[in-house]
Amino acid sequence: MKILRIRLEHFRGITSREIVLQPAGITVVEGPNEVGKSCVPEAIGLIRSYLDSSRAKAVTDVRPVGQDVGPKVELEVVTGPYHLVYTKQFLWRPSTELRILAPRPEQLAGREAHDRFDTLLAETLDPQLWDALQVVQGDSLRQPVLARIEPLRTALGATDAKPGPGGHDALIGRIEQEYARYFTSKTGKVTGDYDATAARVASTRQQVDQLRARLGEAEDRIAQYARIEAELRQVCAAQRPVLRELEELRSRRRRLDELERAAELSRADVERAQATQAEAERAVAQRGELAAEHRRRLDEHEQCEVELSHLEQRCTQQRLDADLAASAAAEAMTAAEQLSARQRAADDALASARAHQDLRLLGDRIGAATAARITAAEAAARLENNPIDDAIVAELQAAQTGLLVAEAKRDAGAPRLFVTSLGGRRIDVDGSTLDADHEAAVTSQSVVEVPGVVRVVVCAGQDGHELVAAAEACAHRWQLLLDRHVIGDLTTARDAAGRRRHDLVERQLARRSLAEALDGDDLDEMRARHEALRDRVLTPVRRTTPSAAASAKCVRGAERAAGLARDAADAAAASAADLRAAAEAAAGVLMLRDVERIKLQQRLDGARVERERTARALQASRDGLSDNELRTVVAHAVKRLHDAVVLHDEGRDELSAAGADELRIVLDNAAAKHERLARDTHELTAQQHRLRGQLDDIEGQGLKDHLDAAGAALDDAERVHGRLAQRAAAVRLLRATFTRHRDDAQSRYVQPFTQALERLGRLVFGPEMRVHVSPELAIESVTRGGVTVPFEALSGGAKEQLAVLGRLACAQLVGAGDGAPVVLDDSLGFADPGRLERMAAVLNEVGQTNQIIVLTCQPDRFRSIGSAVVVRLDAA
Amino acid sequence: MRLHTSVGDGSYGDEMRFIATADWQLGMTASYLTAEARPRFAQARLDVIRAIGELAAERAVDFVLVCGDVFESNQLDRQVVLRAFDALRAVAVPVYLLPGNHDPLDSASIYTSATFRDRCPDHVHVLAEPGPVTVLPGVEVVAAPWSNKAPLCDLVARACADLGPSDDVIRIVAGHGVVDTLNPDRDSLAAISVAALQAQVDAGRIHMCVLGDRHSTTQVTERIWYAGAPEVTDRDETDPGNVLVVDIDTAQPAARVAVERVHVGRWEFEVAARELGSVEDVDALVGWLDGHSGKDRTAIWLKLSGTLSVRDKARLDAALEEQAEIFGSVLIWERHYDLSVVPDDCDFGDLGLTGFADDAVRELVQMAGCEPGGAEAQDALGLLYRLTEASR
Ligand SMILES: [Mn+2]
Repeated sequence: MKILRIRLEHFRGITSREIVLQPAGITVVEGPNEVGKSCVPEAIGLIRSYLDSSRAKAVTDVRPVGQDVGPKVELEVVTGPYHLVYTKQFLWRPSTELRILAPRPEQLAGREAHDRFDTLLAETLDPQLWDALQVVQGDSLRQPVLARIEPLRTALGATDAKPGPGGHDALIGRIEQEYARYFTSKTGKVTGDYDATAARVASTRQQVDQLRARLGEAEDRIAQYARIEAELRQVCAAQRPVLRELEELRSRRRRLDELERAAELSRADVERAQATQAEAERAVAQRGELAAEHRRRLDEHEQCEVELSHLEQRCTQQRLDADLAASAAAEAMTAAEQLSARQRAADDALASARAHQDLRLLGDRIGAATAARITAAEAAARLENNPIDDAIVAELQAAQTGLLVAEAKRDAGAPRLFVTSLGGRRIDVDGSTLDADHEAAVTSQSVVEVPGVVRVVVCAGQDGHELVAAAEACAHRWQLLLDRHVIGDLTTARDAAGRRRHDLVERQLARRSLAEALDGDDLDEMRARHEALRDRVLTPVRRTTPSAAASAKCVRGAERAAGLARDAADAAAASAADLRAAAEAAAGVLMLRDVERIKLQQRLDGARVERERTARALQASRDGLSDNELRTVVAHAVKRLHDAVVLHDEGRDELSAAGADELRIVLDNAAAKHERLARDTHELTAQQHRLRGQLDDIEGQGLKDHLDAAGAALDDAERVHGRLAQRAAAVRLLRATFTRHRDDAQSRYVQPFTQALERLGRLVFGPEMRVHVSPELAIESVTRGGVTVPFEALSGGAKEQLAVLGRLACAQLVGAGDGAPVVLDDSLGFADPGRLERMAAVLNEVGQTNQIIVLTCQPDRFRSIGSAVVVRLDAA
Repeated sequence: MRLHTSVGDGSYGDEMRFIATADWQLGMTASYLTAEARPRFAQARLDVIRAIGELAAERAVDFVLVCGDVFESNQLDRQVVLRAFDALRAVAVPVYLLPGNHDPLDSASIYTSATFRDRCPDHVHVLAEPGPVTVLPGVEVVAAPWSNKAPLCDLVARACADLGPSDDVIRIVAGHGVVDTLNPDRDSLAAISVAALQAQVDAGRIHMCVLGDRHSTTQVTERIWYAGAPEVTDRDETDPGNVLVVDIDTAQPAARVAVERVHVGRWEFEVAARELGSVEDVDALVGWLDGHSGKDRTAIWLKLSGTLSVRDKARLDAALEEQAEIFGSVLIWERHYDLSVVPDDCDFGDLGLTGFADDAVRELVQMAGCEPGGAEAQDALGLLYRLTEASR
């Protein structure tokens, strides 16, 4: 189909407008949104879909606001062999008109026109193709659905001849519908009745199994019951002989019991005889023991007496020894005490001699100290009065030397005045009468006067004055020093300094002597000690102190005497101690002997008591039964025991001959047999009762009925399910086979579509561009520069461009004849200028053969399409 | 004892007459029937008792002897017993019931159940003890009842072991079980020895032997009979649905016994083998089915073979499905099914299938001729045929 012309009147914002479209090539319809470039597809949609009488919202929406007019659309198209002009006015004075211009002119109106137009379109235009080639505003990113477009499939697949409208899709649809009765379409899971019957089969089978098991159980019980009955009969039969045997064995057992009782009695008799004999023998033994003990006690008593007499003799001797030792010790003690007194006296004498010596020494030291102190004090006093020391002497020496030097300088520099009296005349020199030659240096002036004759004044020069002054200064200092030290001249000073040195030495020596005499002690304390010692040592009669030598001699004598006395006293004390120890030892031994004696005495007493006790006991025992009588009793008991043993052995022999052991074993076995049979009977009867109860329970329940009914139900269910399973398998196979062949066919025609798409795509995306197309003819992925990107992950621009390219490829493949116009409403908004340029080239290329209608409010976007014819819609 | 007049050979004498039957199998369920037909089938087994009652009255028999398997099982719902008694009340003469292998006198026997004991009509007797029972003056029934499901000896021989001479007494043996001459398992301990039995007959100690167990009426020897089931129970039975009316001359019981089989059953079980090769064969089969009377009491097993086109097979399937609703059952016997479906040009040629659809059909057609998967492919084609039928 090709649209040649559209005329719109009173359609949205348009009052009246005719749009002429290029039959082959590109028409760009420009216009702002509100004016309605989209009016073009909208108008085509309305005129196709709605009767002129329709008041559908889609229709009323296009009526201009507030105007009492009807929207009118006129469409001139070429479709198939037909050339048509189709006109419709809606809402106000509705009318429909169809003029067929070719191949045979014809004119129709009203409903007839509408229906005829529909028929002609259905005949010549694939509606899916029409839809696919339209890019609706705002939906430009979506790919068209191409796989079911028959013209495209026809164009792509040489093998598929045109199968008519709907084609195999209807058949496939019916197969899918049938398949859905048995399986879910997505996962192929069993569903619906098929699933339900499978469940029913399973549940019924379970029921059958349960019932069969219960019936089997019942059968088992019936069989068991019969078995028990048979066993009971057997057991009853077996019981009778066992009872007879048991009875016989029991009477034998009773006879045996009597024998055993007799044996028991004779054994008791033997035991009694044994006891009697033992008793008698015990009495004999006791008597013997008693006599022996009595003899032992007699011996013991006797021995004690002998020991005691020995011990008493030894005690007497010991006492004598002890007394002797004690008196010897006492004597030695007295002698030692005397010697000790002597020693003390010698010690006293020694102490007295030492005291005298000490007194003497102390007195000497006090004397020396006192003298040294006085000497030191005198030297100190002298030193106090004579301060002139060597330093002062040196200072004086220096001052004097300075003076002499100054005077010498003065004199040397000053005019020397020699006055010699030549005649007799008195000559006064400086007021003094010259008596001899005068020679002096004139330091300032000298006046030589011969009274009445002459006065010569000699004056010293300037230098002379200074030297005189220096000399005077030195002289002054000298004088000052002399005055300060109250000294006449240097010699005196030197003497004084010599004396001072002597005194210093003397004081030093005196101090040393004092220190030696004191030897660290205080003098006053020494004096006090001396006083005290003297008072103590010297008798009032003799208060003189002996000489040092005498006292030392005296001390030495006293020391010697004291040493001798001490040695004698020590020897005597040692001897006395030895003797005393010996005496004490003797006394100790005596005491031990006494203790021993007392103990022995006690033992003797004890032995006597025991001897008397045993004598009494023996006597008492013999009083009861004499030794002879005792022997008779024993002999009698031995005889009785022998008789009893003989009797008992006879009984035992008889018992063992009766075969008690064998009888017991046989009897036990018979009893056990009987017991077991009784128990068996009891158990079997109980089992029988239990089974009877169980069988009564199932009686009349109709287990078999129920099983048969369930079995029949299972058969039914299996039959139904089997039928469904057969059908399900059939439809599954049918569907699988058809789907596989369809997919194969589709993938065969994918190839040319891919090629057509890639040819256009490379103009836009570059020569390396590849696409992967699904059997549904949808672009699944794009490969550029070795990178494959799924369609959904592409940018908006790329998606949009590819979606448009898909439509263009489709349009190109279908060709002009069977085709439909490609309508791009507000498309390619996502493209950058470069892409837009290349898309324009593609559109130009496809426009060579196909009708392309571009609707846009952005005229610039499509400016570069070379061959485009632009129709501009302006606001009315 | 009633007296009958025999007219068979012109001689006159007193005759004793009874109905011999067996294997009523009351309470049996036929799972192969449709769910709707099953209650009818069960009812038929009770109705046949009434038919026997009518026959008994009509022929003025002395008693009815049922030789085992009166009940399908000992484990039946009490309502089966109650309904059986209800039907038995329609029988005016004494009825003797012998426990068989399905309803033995074991510890759970239906004959000792409370319902049976309490509700048993007076004229109904259970032959519980092995050995002779006097059922009428001068008539003894020697019973060989089953006391469990697996007897270890020939019960009939044991029941007859102590029989003395039959002076003035008519002896009828009532037994149940397979006879050794018909038994494929020769070593079976419980098999009834025909020779021993015939020896008793020859010795004149017994005059008639009626057996149960074999559901087809069968004469083993002159006087040894299987009565058969009065209503069919299985498709492999050759002559079911009968009872025997037995006449014995009381004066000379050893001389002559007249046995007549009377058909009382109302159900038919049929097995039909058909080879189908064309639409005509299909129509003929359908016509044959259609021609049946009493379809609701008829069960049919079809053994089908041959080759049909998809179209004809669809026609057959539809027709059989329809008939199955009317009959007691119409079943295709799977074990004997050998029918192939081979698509011909007519099946899909007019559908205008092109391209891949055409390829798919070709593949299925090819598969349909091969094994395995041939049957499934045939079904798939059948389905395709059905799905496209609307657009023809
Ligand atoms: Mn039977």
